[in-house]
Amino acid sequence: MGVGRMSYSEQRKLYDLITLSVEGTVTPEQFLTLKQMLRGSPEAVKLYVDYMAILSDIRSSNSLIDKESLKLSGMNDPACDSNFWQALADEEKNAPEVEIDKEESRPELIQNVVYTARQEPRISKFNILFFALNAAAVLFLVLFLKFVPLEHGVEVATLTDSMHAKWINGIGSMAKGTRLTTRSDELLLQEGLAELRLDNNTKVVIEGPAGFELLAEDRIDLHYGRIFATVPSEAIGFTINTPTSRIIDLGTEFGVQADVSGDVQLHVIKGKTTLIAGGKSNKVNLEITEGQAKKVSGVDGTVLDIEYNRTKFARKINSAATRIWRGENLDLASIAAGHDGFQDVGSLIGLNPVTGKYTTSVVQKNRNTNGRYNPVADSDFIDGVFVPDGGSGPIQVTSLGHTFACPDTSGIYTHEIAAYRGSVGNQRTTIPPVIFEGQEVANDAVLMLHSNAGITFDLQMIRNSLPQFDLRSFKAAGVPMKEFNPDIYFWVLIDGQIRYEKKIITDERSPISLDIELRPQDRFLTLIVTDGLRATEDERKDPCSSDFFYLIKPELSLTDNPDK
Amino acid sequence: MSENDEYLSLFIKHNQHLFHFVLTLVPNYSDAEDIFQESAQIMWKKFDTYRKGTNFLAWARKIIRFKVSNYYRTVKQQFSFDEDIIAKVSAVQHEASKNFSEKKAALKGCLSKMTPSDLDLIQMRYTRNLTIQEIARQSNRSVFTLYRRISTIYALLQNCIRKTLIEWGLDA
Repeated sequence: MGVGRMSYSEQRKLYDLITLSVEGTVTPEQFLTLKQMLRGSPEAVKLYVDYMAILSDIRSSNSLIDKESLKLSGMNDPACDSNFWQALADEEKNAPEVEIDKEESRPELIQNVVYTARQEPRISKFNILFFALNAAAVLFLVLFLKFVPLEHGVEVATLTDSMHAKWINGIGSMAKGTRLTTRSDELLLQEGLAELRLDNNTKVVIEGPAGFELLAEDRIDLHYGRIFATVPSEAIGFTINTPTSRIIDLGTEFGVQADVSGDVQLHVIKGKTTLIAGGKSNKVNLEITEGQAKKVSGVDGTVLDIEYNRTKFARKINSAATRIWRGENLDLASIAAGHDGFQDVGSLIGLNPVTGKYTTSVVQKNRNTNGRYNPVADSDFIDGVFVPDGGSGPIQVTSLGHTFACPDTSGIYTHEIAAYRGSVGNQRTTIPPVIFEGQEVANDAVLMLHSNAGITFDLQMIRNSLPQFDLRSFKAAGVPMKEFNPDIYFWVLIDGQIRYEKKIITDERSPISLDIELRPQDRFLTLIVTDGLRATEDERKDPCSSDFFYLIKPELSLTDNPDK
Repeated sequence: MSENDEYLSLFIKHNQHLFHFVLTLVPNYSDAEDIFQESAQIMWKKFDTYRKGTNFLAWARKIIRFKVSNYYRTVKQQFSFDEDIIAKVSAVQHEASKNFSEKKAALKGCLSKMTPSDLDLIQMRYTRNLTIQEIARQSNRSVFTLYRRISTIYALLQNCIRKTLIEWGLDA
């Protein structure tokens, strides 16, 4: 190839080689040819640079090749007559046939490359959303978004709920469904809580007193107050600016508190964020992940580790149920006591496993089973209770007829199923204190089952009462009473199937730890405690009064489902 | 204007030029994106070394050249450009960037004149980010045919842009 003008075939060959290079499928020999062409011809260099400019423009701006926008582009210039493209294509068609190197003419060779093409992600890396997945690139997202603020008066969010919200700045109260716009002045929530859904599907809960500005559908300036954001995957890159920092979502749930002093706290509940803070001399760009919390000093912008608090922020509000959810799990002791799982269990409540009735006293008294599975009329969330005794075969453990091959027991129960918080104190009961890891449990919720007793919770009814949540797992610590030789068998069943079992629990020095995953299709959760195998038949016949089994902080863990 | 805002302003103004520069030095698109991101991170970290009022593009291009040199040391030798090619390409790229906006406008006009099938191919490759292999499967065409068609499209676009600029009385 000489220094003069390139022939059509040379130009075509050049474009072929550039295309293969860009796509990452060029062979070493082909790349060498490309280099030779660039080295030998100024025109080749110009065509190469032009090719890259076109590629760069097309890939950086999807609107350039958006069919709708192209329809509107219409140009009256004679150089762009409607047949112009066809004329160009014809010109190209009529050009002398390009002789392709043998290597290139064999399709299989193009696939059989030495230089392995990297698998490109589905989302273009130059796409601004993908940039948010890379800590470095996130910076550009921030910069770009900050540089292109929306004009005022653009609708960007909807008020979806509020509780006791009092707005100032002339807004007064706002009804559900009110559309919010970008404004020239800040929104001031004097008190109460407000839940917004931004137009990019991000949900935020703002807790007053708070001052903030909606900059765009994916950006909020938080001047002071608390805000919790739940960001779906399609809204990655959502950003909260504070006076001393910037937090960019990378697919997460997180809370930000900005004090009027300028101090900012960030707690990441799920996923990860990027935190940018600091001045010229101490600028930082940190990735903060689930379970971590940081504080940015309002004085000098330094970033410190702080204790993570998963229940610090209001994450969901339900004004109809007057409920604020801060990330708490459902308390099974509260449910066993006939409450909704959020209400504190409070003082001692007993649930009789034969009658299904509640009582405020739980004292030892030998009573026999009625051999049946018994409903609990006063709770929507408890399917039933029973005294397990497998002496006559498998026993019913749910209202739908699931059964369990329970061992033969004495068929006697001595105490009601009990729910309470901390120490039973001076309440009417013979329940001994709970000793866990050498300490008496003073403040945690407790669900006590003494042999022989069983309780089944209706997970579907619980789900129905909390449509915005998923039940993720059942968690608890379990320990028998201290001293007096307890001998317990303990089971956790899901729809009659064993998910956990522990036999011969005799020693409070080896507590058990439960974290049992719950699937969406799991309907019933059953907890059973039976008397164990005693040394002698006589001991088996006598009702045992030391088989206390305590479940400490029994919970159903909840996850927020932003799609619901 | 804060340092943040100043950097923002400069970067946003020049980021397309800079990415084009990276792409001319590193023709593998995927690698070029990585290098651009890494270069931008360095630019941000070292922004305090940039003297206000001086040529930001020149300062940024130096950083990019540094990153590209590192890249050449790690990638297989047969896929790196020699210094003489880099010098030629850089010079032409710098000159070509002067009509940046006009060329982009011309490109848009030329794209509107594409045949539907060619536009579909471009969209499948660059908007939906399908690989050539996936497009081949969906369209029942060979990979080889698609590579040839893409390079033909670039040739046609380049020709169209050149003619458009000439019509506009601009240097093509």
